[in-house]
Amino acid sequence: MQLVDPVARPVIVAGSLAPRLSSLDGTTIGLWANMKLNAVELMDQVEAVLRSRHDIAGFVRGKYHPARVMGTNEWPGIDGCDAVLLTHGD
Amino acid sequence: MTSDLQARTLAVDDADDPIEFCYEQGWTDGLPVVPPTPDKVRRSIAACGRAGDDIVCEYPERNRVVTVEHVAMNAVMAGCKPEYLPVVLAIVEAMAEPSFGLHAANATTGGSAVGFIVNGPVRTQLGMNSRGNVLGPGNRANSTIGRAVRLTQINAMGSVPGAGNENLVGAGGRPILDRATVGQPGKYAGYHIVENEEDYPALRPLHVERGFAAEQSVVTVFATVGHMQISVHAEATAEAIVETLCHYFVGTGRLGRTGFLVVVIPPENADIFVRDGWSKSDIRRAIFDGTTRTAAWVKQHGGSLTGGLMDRRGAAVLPGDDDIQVAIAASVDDVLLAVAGGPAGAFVHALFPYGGYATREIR
Repeated sequence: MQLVDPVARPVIVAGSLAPRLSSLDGTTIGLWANMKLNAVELMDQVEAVLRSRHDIAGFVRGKYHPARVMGTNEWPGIDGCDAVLLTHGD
Repeated sequence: MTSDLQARTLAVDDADDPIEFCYEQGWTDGLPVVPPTPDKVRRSIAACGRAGDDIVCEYPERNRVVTVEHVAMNAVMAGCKPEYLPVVLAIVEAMAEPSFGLHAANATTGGSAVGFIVNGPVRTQLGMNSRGNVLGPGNRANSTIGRAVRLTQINAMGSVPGAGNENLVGAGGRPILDRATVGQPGKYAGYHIVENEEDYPALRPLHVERGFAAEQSVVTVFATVGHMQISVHAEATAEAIVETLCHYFVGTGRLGRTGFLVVVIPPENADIFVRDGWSKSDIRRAIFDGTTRTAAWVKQHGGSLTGGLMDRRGAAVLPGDDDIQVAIAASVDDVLLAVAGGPAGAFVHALFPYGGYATREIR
């Protein structure tokens, strides 16, 4: 008997990493929390650590939905960021 | 010959049981499946009138592209007749709509099942059940269409269940994606709701309320945490029924500014609504208004607002909370009503969201 395989395999799309920053001094950092418990508190700590170690020009804070693709208009202030950190997971 | 199919073909030795072979490949939901032979899949695709490589769903979070052929293979395994495939395809297409929230349905630790409400001529053409045990077992189309969706999630979208049992689930080496903590039985065959459009014409079918013509076949698809069954036997008027429903809805702790609510109205209660001259629009408005509270009220009564996914209870009332209104759904239009069920019993069923919903015509 012949059977067909019902599994769809991933379609791999080639990509590349964003350019790395040589220094955080003078940069604007985005910190977006994913609405999970303690995500905002975690980003508060991240901001405090970065402030203590680097001469960060400013932070942009935001929240995003963890389970849907957000529209480009749903990330206010992100265009002015040199780097962005996200919380991820539960 | 399988040259017209894109899927790879596997040979099963004549001495082997093909059902056991499917288990070994990790293709099942835990129950036996119909082995997907090329001929069965080919007949299924032919019945829908579409090309096998037509794209049904793009799922960028997992780099998957789901085609008609993928869905057809899983529909065969679920036990669908070929003529059921257009309904399964419409459901999967609706799941690809941004408003549905596909990745949450496939991956969440919560118990997210797919529900769907079928309207229009396709119900009778396929012999679907809109009466007794509509949400339960007993009807091939209801059950296998829902199961085909789940198998499509597992096999075509990679929503392989079994977090914590990675070495036991037999997923053919595929990684776990469905990380449900406990899961729920609705994840086997979905919440398959078929509206009874014939007995209560005064209560317009859901698809007509949503702008489709009565003669169109339509499916409204939603992600749900599950359902609550509410006994509404002692309530003799439309007002009394809605008041009782709202009492339970408010008590769920699910008041917020987002989301939807599905309510299945059985005939005993539908009779009363029609007798009292209520339309579905009246019912939807009464449920929305009857569950509307302020944010301050919710906090003062020990609740949490569901604007965040994991809000703590007992937050302090803030200035402006008296001006923030919350309800059991985002708007009146997000209360979705369907008449269905057997002739006896005033058990209203309510289904609560785990994501969003989308409506799609069945072609």
